[in-house]
Order: sequence, then C-alpha cells, then structure tokens
Amino acid sequence: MSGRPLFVMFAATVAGLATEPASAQTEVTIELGASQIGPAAGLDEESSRFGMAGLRVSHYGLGGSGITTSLMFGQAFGEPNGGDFVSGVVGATLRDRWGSAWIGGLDLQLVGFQVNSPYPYVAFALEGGPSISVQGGPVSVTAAAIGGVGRSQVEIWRFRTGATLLFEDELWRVGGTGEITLGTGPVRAGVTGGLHESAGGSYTSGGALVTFSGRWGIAEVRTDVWDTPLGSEVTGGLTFAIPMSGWSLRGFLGKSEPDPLTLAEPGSGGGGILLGRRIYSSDDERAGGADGPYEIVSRGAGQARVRISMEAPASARSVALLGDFTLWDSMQMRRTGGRWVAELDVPEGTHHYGFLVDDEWYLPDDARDVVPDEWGRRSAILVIEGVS
Amino acid sequence: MRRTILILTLATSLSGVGLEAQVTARDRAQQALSPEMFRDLTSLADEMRTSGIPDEPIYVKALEGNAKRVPPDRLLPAVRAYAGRLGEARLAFGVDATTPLLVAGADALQRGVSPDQLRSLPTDRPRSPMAVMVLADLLESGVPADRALAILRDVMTQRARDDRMLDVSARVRRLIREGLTPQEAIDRVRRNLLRARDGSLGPPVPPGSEPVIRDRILDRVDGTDF
Repeated sequence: MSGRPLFVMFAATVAGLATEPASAQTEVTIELGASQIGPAAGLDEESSRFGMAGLRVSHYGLGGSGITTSLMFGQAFGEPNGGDFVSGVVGATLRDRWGSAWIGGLDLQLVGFQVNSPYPYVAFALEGGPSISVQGGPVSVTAAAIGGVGRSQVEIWRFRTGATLLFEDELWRVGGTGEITLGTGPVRAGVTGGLHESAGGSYTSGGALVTFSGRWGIAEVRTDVWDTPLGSEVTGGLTFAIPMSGWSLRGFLGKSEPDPLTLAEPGSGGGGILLGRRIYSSDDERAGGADGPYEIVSRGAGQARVRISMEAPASARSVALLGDFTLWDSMQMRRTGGRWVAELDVPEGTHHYGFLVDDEWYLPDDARDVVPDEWGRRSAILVIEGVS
Repeated sequence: MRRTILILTLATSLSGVGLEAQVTARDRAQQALSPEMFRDLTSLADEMRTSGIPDEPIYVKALEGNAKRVPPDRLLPAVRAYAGRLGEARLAFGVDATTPLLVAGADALQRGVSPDQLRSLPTDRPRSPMAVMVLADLLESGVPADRALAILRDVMTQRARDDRMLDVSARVRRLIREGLTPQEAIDRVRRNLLRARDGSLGPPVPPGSEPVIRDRILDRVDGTDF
C-alpha cells in the first residue's frame, strides 16, 4: 500500500536513523504533525488540512530482525463531523547477510485504515515478500517480490433518495520491484522500476531517485512515471528524516504514488510533517541516559562546546580536567551538587582525557569508552563530530 | 585521536578562542617539563622530522605522562617507544597518513594490534583513526581479527559516525559481560548493524491520497438505480 505502510516504513527508518542500535532495542515514540494536500475529489480546501497524532512501538532483536507497530489518528481541520481517520500497521522485518555483499530480507505488513470523509471507507490488507540485495563497490542492486491480499469497503449515501450502497472489494496484488543505485559517499543515485498485477489491472512504474545521507539524517528526491488502469501519472517528491537525539522530524512534499493493492489513486500533491519524541528506549536505560560523562552544549565551526561532569570520591577537595584538547594542562572543575563540572570548547576529533583528583590521576571505575596508556593507566574518550 | 595541535591551534584561533589555545605542544612541553627532559625530547623530535614523521605527537605524549604524574625515568623511554610505533604506523599506512591516523596506529600497536592488521583495514575510503582504535578495542576483547575487520568494513560502508563506531566495541564488551563469547558477540552486533539502512523511505501521506476511489465508485453507481 502506498499510503499508510510507507508511512510506517518511514517511521521504522527514522527509528533506525535515530539510534542505529547494535543490539536488541525497544523504543516507544509519540508523534505530532500536520499535513496539507491539494484538495482531493470530494474534499474542500479546508478539509484537506489535517492534524495528526500517533504512537509507534518498535523492537529490533539481536538478529537484525524486528517488528514495528504504529497507530495514527488524524482530524481534518474543517470537518467537525467527519474527516477523521485512523490507521494502524504491524510490520515485521527479517534480514540476514551472506558474505560481505549479499543481503536477504523478508518483509510483512498488516495494515488497517479507516476514514470517514468524503465516504466512510475501511480497508485491511496483508502484504509483503522477499527481497535480495547485492553490493559490489559503489553499485547496489535490489530486487523484491511482493504479494498482498486484503478487503475494503466503501459506504455511499445518496442525499436525494436516502439510500445507502455498500461496495466491498476483494483486494490482491502480485508483482516485483527493482532498484539499481550508484554512489560511494553521502549521495546515491539510481533508477527504479516495478510491475504489478492486481484486482484493478496492471500497473507499471519506472523512475529515478537521489538519496542524501549524513550525520544530519537522510533525504530522498524521487520521481516515477506510473502506467495504471486509469491512465499515466507522474508522482514523486522530497522525503526526509532528521533524527535529533531523542527527537525526530520527518516529512514529505510532493505527490504520493498510486497503490496497486488498494487501488488508491495518486495523491493530488501536498506535504506533511511529523515531529516525533522518543519517550522510552531500552538503550537509554543501558547507557545511563543524560548522566553520561559529557554533553554537547552547542556546536560551532570546527569545534563544540562540551560540558564534562564526573562523580569524584566524596573526600575529593579539588578536581581538574585535562586531556589532549588542553595539551594536558589542568582545568579546574567546579562542584555542582554531587558532581564536578567543567565546560570548554573542544575541536572536532577523537580525544583522550581524564581527571586529577587531589593531584592524582583519576578515572571513575564506571567510565565508558576508555583506552589504556603506556603506563598502565586509562584515559577516557571524547568524540566531537559534525562541526566542520 | 586528535593531537594535531597545529590544527587545533588554527581551528581555535579562527574561532576566536583565547590566546592560550594558540600555544603549541612544543611550547607547552618547554614550560611543563624539566630542561633535561625537554632537551631529550627535542633531540628525538629532530630525528622524527628527518624521517618524515610528525613530531607533535611525542610532545603531547610527554605532556600526557607528565600530567599523569609518571616518574621521569619511565616517561622518556615510553615516549621513545611511542616514537618508534609512530614510525611503524607510517610504514603500515603509507606516507600520506594523517597525524591523527598515525597517533591512532601507534596506540593500536601498543595494544597488540599487528602492522599487518593495520594494513588490513578497509581502504576504499580514508582510514578513520576511530576505526583503528575500535580495531584495537575489539582485538583486546578477544574478537577474531577477521570478524573485527569485517564489522569495521560494514560500519565504514554505512559511513557511520565515529561515536557509533565506538558504540560497536562498547556493545561487544557488554555482550561478552553478559556471557557471550567474543565471536558470538561480534556476530550479533554485526548482523544488527545491517538493519539500520534496510528500512524503506516513504512519506507520511495525508488522507486524500488514500483510497478515495471516486472514479471507480461513480462508475459503479452510474450503472445502478441508486
């Protein structure tokens, strides 16, 4: 399905970008947002503006497989008696890798969607399939097969006669997609294509995409030409996801794709944006959350303002911070509550540092990310990135 | 490891940081170390420059030892050994290696990484000092070299941030503490790394682009007495 499932797949991507965990992880995220679309058939302009709120729970295991559940509610600003929608998705992903180049996958999604305006409409579908990717140097090739079944129901009420008609559709699709991309750096470009048979007829698509990724997040610009039973359509736009330490911003601007399974027509053009806040992460619990050894206060050109804090023995009279970024010169720390704190500018790079407590070299026993030195002592590590 | 103090000096002076930041490692060493120690250090630095090896790292290393209250009789031999490892790292990485990379290589050699293993790090994009450090971390944890190199290759392919690379070794250590063997731990972490880029992009499509199917509905309504 081109609408809700992509919405949730996108959410899963954001979750991955935001944390990119290397072990089992559970996350709960709430999202708030709004969207504006070009007025679709049967909707006036005001009814095409939506507020949205949702909850997403994802769990990814140590084996690289995972499950994401999403529930999203929306309300049209101009439709006090309708225009609301609710969508839910349960998506499961299996991934495995063979050798250094091949990745096999299996994706399944169970989707439910209901909207009340302009017609009461409800749909349920299960779809998914296997995929395989191979990467050789800068070239990546992915092929995926997809199949789906579902059921939808539309209720039409005629004002003149007061009669109601109920249309029920058995939905199905089989097909496949392919993608070839080229790139070695933060930019990848490629071509895509797909072929689908469905209850509504044959769908073919071909297009091009450019993906930009970096420390800031990921964005994709793509355009596709669709040949559908209802005619040809050009779809595409800008999609982005920007993780921001516990927050995420994602959005879309453009024209969404038709869906061979639900026979949804392409969007009429518009955009939406969602702000997400991670309210629970098993990773936060493991890492100690905000009580980590250092915190980036702000970022400037080539350097960052860093606040370093540590818990010294209760008997400590003086605590100094020193590291390669101070040329191992001592910088006195101040006592704040039960911790000793210092704030300074640190240039981009990976640095070694530690403390002098009452003039003796000291590193807390529970310090994370430490390296040994030539004399049997340990130094802590501080990493400053993304300030160039 | 960032010990290119001249770069630090340039960066900080460009950004308007105080004048004290413009002190070079050599200047600081002259102030902080005994005259005898500084003389020996300068002599060693001259040898290094002659060999084409940057000398700032040995001043920084001497300052580190001094700051950690290392006795003088242990400090200078360690710095001399460190200078030798910088030379080995340069042989392993080549003459174009950056100072941070050489420093990371010298540290890794001290922790038991072999020059051959340094040479085995992926070269399809610039070697990262952090990758060198994480390689040393993983080998110290008991991870087989081939698996350590494989996960670093994956991480570098994904253009992961340095702090994420550091997270790899932290997670491996944690899994080992939880009872996994180093091999099991690295295999699990590596598999999971592959997940992050496997998600698909898709838009938060608003309603209206959903199955309104107006045309299909009207087609069917027209054929009835509705």
